[in-house]
Amino acid sequence: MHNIVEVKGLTKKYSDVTAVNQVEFQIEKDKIYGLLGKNGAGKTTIMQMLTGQIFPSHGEIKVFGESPIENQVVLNQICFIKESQKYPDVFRVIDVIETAASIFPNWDQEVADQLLEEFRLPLKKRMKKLSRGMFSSVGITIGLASRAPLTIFDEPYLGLDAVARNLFYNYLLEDYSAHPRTVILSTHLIDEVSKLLEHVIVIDQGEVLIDEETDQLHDYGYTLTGTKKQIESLIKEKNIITKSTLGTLTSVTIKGPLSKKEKEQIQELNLDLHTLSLQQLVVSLTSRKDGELK
Amino acid sequence: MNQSFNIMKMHLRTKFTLIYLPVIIMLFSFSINLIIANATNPKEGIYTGGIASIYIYIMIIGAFIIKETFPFSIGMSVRRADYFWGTLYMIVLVTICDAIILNILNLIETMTNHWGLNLHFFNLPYLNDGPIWQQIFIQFSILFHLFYLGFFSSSVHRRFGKKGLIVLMFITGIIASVITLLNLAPLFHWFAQHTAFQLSLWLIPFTFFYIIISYLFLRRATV
Repeated sequence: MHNIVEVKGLTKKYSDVTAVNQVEFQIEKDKIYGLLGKNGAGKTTIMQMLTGQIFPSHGEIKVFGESPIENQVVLNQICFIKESQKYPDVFRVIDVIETAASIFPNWDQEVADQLLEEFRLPLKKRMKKLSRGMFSSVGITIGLASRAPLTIFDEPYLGLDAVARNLFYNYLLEDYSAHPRTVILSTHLIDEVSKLLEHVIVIDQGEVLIDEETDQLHDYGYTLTGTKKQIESLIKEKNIITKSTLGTLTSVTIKGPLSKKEKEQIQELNLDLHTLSLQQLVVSLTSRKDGELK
Repeated sequence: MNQSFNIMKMHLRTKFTLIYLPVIIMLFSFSINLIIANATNPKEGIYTGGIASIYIYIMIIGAFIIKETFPFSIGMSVRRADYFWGTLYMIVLVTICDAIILNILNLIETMTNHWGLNLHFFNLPYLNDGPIWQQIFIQFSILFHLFYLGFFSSSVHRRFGKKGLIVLMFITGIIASVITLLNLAPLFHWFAQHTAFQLSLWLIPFTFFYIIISYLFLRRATV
C-alpha cells in the first residue's frame, strides 16, 4: 500500500507541557481516517504539524514523501479546514471562496456553487457577521471544493444542525467515491461518522492509543450486564475498563476479544452482551486515568 | 502557479482599507486645512504637516496586515515565503501609487498658487525640493519605510508573542535614551547638510533591515 503520510517519533513540547509525545503512524492513499480523542489530546497539534503550520520539537513527518514545511509541492496537495480558522475582518464569504479558488490547484467551482446554495450562504455577508454554523459551512465548502489529495477536517461542523451535518456526510461520501482522495476527519461526534471511517487513530494525552482499521475494532470491547454473581465469575480474568452497579444488576465494560467458549457461556447465562460502539470505545478508553489499556 | 501572485490578489480584495482609505484620510485632513485657511487667511500662509496622516496610516496598515491576512493565507496552504513576497509586491505598488498621487496633488497645489489660499499641504519647503522623480522617490521611500516599520514590529509579535513585543519596546527605549544622552548637535548638523532626497536614500538600509528581519521571523511564525 502507498503511504502518503509517514510520521515517526513526532513530539511537540511547549514550555511546560508535552502536547504530542513520540507519535508514530502512517496514512494510506485514498482512505477516510478518523483522528479521535478528547479535547486537548493533541489532535489539532498533530494536524497542524502535518500541514506545516507549526513546527515539531522532534521527529519526522513526510507528507507525499517530503517535509510539508514551506514546501509548495506538498502544500498544493493539502487542504486543512480547522474550526479555529481566522479570516480577514473585511472579507465577505465571496472573497474567501474566490481566494480559495485561486489558491487550490484542484478547485472545483461547481462543487463550491452547489454547496454555497445548499448551505444558503449569503455571499455578500462579511465572515465576521456569520453565525457559527454558517461560518463552519464556509470551511466545509472550501474543504470539499478544493478536492485536495489530502483533505483534513478538524471539528469542521461546530454549530451546524443535524441536517447540515448530514449534507456534509453525504457530499463527502459522494464526492469521495467519484474522486477518491485521502480524508482525515477529527470530530467529537464519533457515532455520526463511524460508518464513514475506514481507519481510526485514537489519540490520548499526546500518544497514539489505537491505530486500527475500523473493521478490526469490533473485538476491542464489550459491555456485559447481569447479576453481580454471574458477572463476577465471568470477568475474573478480563481486563475491566469500567464497572457500575445498579441494585442487583452489574454492568461491566471489558476489553476484548472474547473466545467462542466465553460467548457461549454468556449466552447460556442469558446475559446481555453488546459490542462497544466506536464512540463508547473511545470514551471508555480515554476516560481511564491509569491508561493501562493498550 | 505562483502563490505570491494569488496573495497580491487577496490583498487587492481589501482595496478599500489598503488603497482608498489612506488617501481618503489624507484628503479629509486636507479639507480641514482648506477650511481653516479659507476662514483665517493669514498673510504668511499656512504650512501644515497634514501629509503625515497618510504616513501614519500606512504604518498602521503595516502593523495590522499580518494579523488580518497571515493566518488566513497559511490556513489556505500558502507558504510563508509566498505570503511575504506577495505582500511586498503589493505594498511596492501601493506606495508607488500613493507617491504619484501625492506628487500630482503637489503639482496642482503649485499650479493653483497654493489653492489660492497660500496653503502649503502637498508642497512643502525642503521636503519637495529637487526634480519630480526625486520627489516621487522621497514619498515612496518614506511610505515604504513606514509600512515595513509597522510590519516589522508586527512580525516580532507574530513570532515571539507579547513578550517579544515588550522586549522590542524595551530595546527601542534604551536606544532612544542613549541617543538623547549623547550630544545631538552633530546629528542635527548632519541632517541639515543633506537634502531630503539624500535622507530618503538613507532610509533604504533601514527599510532593508526591517524587511530581512521580518522575513526571517515570519518564516518561523505559526498560526
